[in-house]
Amino acid sequence: MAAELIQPGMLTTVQDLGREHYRAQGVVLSGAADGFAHRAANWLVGNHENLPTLEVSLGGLELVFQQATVVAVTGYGVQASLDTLAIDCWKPIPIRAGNRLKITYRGIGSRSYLAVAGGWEVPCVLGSYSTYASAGWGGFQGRALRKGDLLRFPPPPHLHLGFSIASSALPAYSATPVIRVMKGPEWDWFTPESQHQFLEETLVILPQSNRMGYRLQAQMQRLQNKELLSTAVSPGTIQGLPDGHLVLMMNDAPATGGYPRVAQVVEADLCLCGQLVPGNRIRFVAVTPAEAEEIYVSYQQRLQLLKQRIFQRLHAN
Amino acid sequence: MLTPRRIYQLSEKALTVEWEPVIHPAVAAEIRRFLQELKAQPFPGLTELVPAYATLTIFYDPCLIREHHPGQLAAEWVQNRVWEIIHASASLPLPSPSRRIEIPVQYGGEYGPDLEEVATHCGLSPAEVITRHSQAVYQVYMLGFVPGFAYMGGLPETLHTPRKTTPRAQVSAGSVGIAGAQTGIYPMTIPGGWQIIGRTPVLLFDKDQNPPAFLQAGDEIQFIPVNTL
Repeated sequence: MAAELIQPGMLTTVQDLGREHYRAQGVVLSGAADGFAHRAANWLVGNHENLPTLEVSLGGLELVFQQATVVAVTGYGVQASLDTLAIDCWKPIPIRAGNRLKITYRGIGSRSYLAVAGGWEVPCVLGSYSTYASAGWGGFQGRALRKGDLLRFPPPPHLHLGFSIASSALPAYSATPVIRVMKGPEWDWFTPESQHQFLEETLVILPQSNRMGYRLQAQMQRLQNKELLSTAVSPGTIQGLPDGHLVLMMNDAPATGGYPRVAQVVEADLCLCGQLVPGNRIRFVAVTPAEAEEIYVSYQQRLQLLKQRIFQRLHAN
Repeated sequence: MLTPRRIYQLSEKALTVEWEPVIHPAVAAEIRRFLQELKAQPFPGLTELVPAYATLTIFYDPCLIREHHPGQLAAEWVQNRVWEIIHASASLPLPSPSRRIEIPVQYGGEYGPDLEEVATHCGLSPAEVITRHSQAVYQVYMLGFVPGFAYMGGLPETLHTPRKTTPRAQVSAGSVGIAGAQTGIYPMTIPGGWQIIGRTPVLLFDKDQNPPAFLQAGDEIQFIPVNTL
């Protein structure tokens, strides 16, 4: 069973929750930039959250299904249609053989996720389905999708449809989000004025931004010109660059970095970052490490609860 | 014993233990001893250990740790456990370099387009650059940047050369280069600004092997000049 790619869009890649356990080998984490939307798309078609979805940047994806199945489209501001009819997002959608699915960008948000029941069939490389295009492995043939690609999927299970995720259960997606951070290990390398700017001003995302990281306009001044020895970083790490700007590391960032770390975005707010585009503005607010851990745990509980509710609906008798 | 100078939270699911920030075999040996002890007695919820020049980062699952140790912050519990292991391992012998690996390199010519530039910068002949580069013994401190890329220490000071002013759009996999006080090998073809002095046929990263990286933190490296690849 397969779907044929008619249009790939600007950048469509296969992603899951990332390639953990190989950081010490220098392996990039990869994975969906909006982990919430990726998980929800999978759950809505009855999948485990770590099965591969298609991450579609700025829309433009068009594919034709050769067999019937069930799909779900999630994301922020995304618009999808089946043949000529608009379809709801955050909802399982039955697909008939021959249906043409389109995902359109309408100037809001950045990334949408397309899950198919049973998961897109791509090989698992180093424990993950995510694409690492720089080395040419992972995902679909180690690259972004192209016109004419045939994406395979298994036969769908029987699922009860006809429900969607309430908008109140979605993250607070915004083009001007408030993002919670922990102060970084090198926070005190920066002047009080720079620290103040970081927490009190809204910072604009510059054009040189992609899945590796977002550049944020700032004038971060250091107290002294110490060098940081390269050390582990992770998606959500915000580094101060020599030119005063900041870089917010995203999923395709290296596992190690050598610029001083101003802050670390809490995991629960990374999904909001995953929906930003150049020109959007971020306001950072600081939380303590203890608060960050409580936010993390309650976010995980919220995810588990959402998953349970969706699975109850899908498998209702 | 060199004790860590601080432990900080990298994220909600990672703590980093930081030693004196120097690139030195003695610090690397401390980190490896601690890493081996953690690997020998992993705690439930430990997910990954990432060594660097002067740090070891411990990734963990906060939810699982809180299940095992209710009423406590996961970060606090991990931090206490880390100090226990550091103190308990202080009396253990420091590990010596795990392996000595010889890496064949064809220096100069089409594989080492910057050999002349490095020689000019260092006031040496190309042959002297090759001799000095291949006589030194290097230590792998950490992997990062791209899969399989080894951060090495031990480049003789006489060979320190700044990066190229204009980076190349493509540096071939296996290229051996110098950047400032560092030497290293590109595991895959990527853009880069290092001075390229040679190339090795050794495959530095193979996704189908376990571990996938050819070089590992703790290895000792020596480059062997060869004439044909």
